[in-house]
Amino acid sequence: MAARGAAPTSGGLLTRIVVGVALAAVAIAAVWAGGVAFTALVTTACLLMSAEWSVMHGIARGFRLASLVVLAFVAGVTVYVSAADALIVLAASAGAIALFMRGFDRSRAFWVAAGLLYCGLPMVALLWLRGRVGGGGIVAVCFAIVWATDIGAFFIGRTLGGPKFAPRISPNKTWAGVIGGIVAALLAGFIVVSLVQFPLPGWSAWRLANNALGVALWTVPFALIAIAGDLFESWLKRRAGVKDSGHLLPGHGGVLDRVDGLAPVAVAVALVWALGGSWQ
Amino acid sequence: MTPRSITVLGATGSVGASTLDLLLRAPDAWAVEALTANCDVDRLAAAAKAVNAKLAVVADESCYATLKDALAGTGIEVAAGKAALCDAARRAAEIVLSAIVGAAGLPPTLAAVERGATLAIANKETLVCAGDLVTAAASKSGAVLLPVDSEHNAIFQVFDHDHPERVTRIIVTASGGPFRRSTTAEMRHVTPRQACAHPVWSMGAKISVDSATLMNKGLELIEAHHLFPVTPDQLEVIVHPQSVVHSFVEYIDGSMLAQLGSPDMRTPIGYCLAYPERMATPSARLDLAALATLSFEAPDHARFPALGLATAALRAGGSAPCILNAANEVAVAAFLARAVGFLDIAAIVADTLDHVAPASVGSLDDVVAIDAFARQAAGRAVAARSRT
Repeated sequence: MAARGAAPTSGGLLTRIVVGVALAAVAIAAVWAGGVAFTALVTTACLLMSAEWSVMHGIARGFRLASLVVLAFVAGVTVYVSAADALIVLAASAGAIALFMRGFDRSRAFWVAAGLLYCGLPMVALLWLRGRVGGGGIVAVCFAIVWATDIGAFFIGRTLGGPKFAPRISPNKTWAGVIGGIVAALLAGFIVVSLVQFPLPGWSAWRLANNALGVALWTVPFALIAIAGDLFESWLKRRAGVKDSGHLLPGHGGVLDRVDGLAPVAVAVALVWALGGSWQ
Repeated sequence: MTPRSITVLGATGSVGASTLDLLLRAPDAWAVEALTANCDVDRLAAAAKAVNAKLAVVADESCYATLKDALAGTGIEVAAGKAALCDAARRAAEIVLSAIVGAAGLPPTLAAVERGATLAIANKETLVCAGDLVTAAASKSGAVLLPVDSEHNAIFQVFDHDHPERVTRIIVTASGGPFRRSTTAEMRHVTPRQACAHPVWSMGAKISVDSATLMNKGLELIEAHHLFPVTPDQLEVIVHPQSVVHSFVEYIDGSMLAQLGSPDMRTPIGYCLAYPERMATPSARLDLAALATLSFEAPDHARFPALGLATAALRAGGSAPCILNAANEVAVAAFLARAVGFLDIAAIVADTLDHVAPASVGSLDDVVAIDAFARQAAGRAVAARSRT
């Protein structure tokens, strides 16, 4: 939520920070532990996203439930069969539901299918990434970049203000926020990469510069994707005429608001990983 | 016949001693260029005098004075330090045998490969941690890599190097270790002493524990992947308690070739020293009638998870095998110090592999950095499972 800002009172900001820290603690613990804890967290978040998506787009109850069943099943397939099979199930289900719904509600048919992909792809991506060798480290880097982008954009944007970034979609986002988000993501990228990959002390200057470039090459595109994801979600809400996607997380709005940056970044990281490494 | 020149890196260890034994049996056939050791000055000096080496090197600089005294008046050059180790590897010997234990063996081994020497490799870390670097350097310099390890030596002997596409599978044999028949519950309370009581081979504590967890076999799969042009899917492990068949290679026509021998390292060392010829060694001959039966069984991945971890690291590539190796060394050391249980070894390796993000390995410095970081991470995993 880059530079969404404009929390009405300082009490609101405090709530936002406290809830944010609590969510981060749960997420960090689940990422570190992996296994069932991580699967449970990601799947729960995905189902909540789907529920909010359905409400936002006014999707009928039967199709809301169908989406939840499909996503839960896809989570199981990802963990117990393979990510490739899960993608096939997800795509086939989205296609089948959309084709069925098309006959009587053409516009919503698209949004049901899109919702399945929007909620399902990041879930498959995160569960798949966490199962790789070094998965804990990879997912930690993903989370750190997205969170840092959010936090940096929020506070820098709020403090500096200045020209608007995308006034028609999200009136509170500023250019200062975007740059703040990227800078924060770079910093977090360095810190977390050094924590999960190489120790910083003892690096030669060349090696540090070399790695700095490497970290920057990864961090900046993902920070931009996180900002784009945030903007996309703002556009969805504007289109649906709501301010927050839900009210589950005090100070943060809904789950969709909270993971709008992470969702596309997780998919992007998984894509890079799958294309760069071996598809196991 | 002009004598063949040879350098032995790590002359005072078990493989080094077996090598010197073979050299001393045919003193006229060999001109020893250099011998190295970490700090075992007595053995190194005695060996250097016995084979009349031109140079003796200790890796530990604090041992330099003692070595210099021990070799005073012999005309044997003396040097010390890590750089001197690499210099020794760069000297013009036809064959370099690298038997240094651990990551310390990496720089001198790579130095010999870059020079284009014929290299007999008995140092696991070279291929496990820096396999891509070593094989790339070898194809650039034209160095020939000869595996000393009995399993890889067996594969090397029966592998069709000119037509690798005709090979369908490589099957590495494993003795199964002392807990081949133990349940997981029994293994939970195993002591270092029990783990080191290997049924067939007599080895150091670290490698004995690796044999007991089957991690040793996992590391060998990673080495085999670098030594022979096969995919991870073509590599398999079979448990063979008698350790008479040292490995199999299967071909497209269904033929399976194997190399057999008694468990004596002098056979594979002799093969490497004489390559491409053969030389006589005093190894015990196999009495097939006395052996009567050879048995084979599939490895149990549930009881020996280390095998699966090594396979996962092999498939992941990059820094993963190096992380696996470093974490395993830390975990085994903790087990030998009785800080963690036997089953914790694989669990610590799994934790470390899980939490350290993968990286690419582009240079020896990368390997050193990854190794150091993986050791820190494994240290934390040890602390989390520590009994004390």
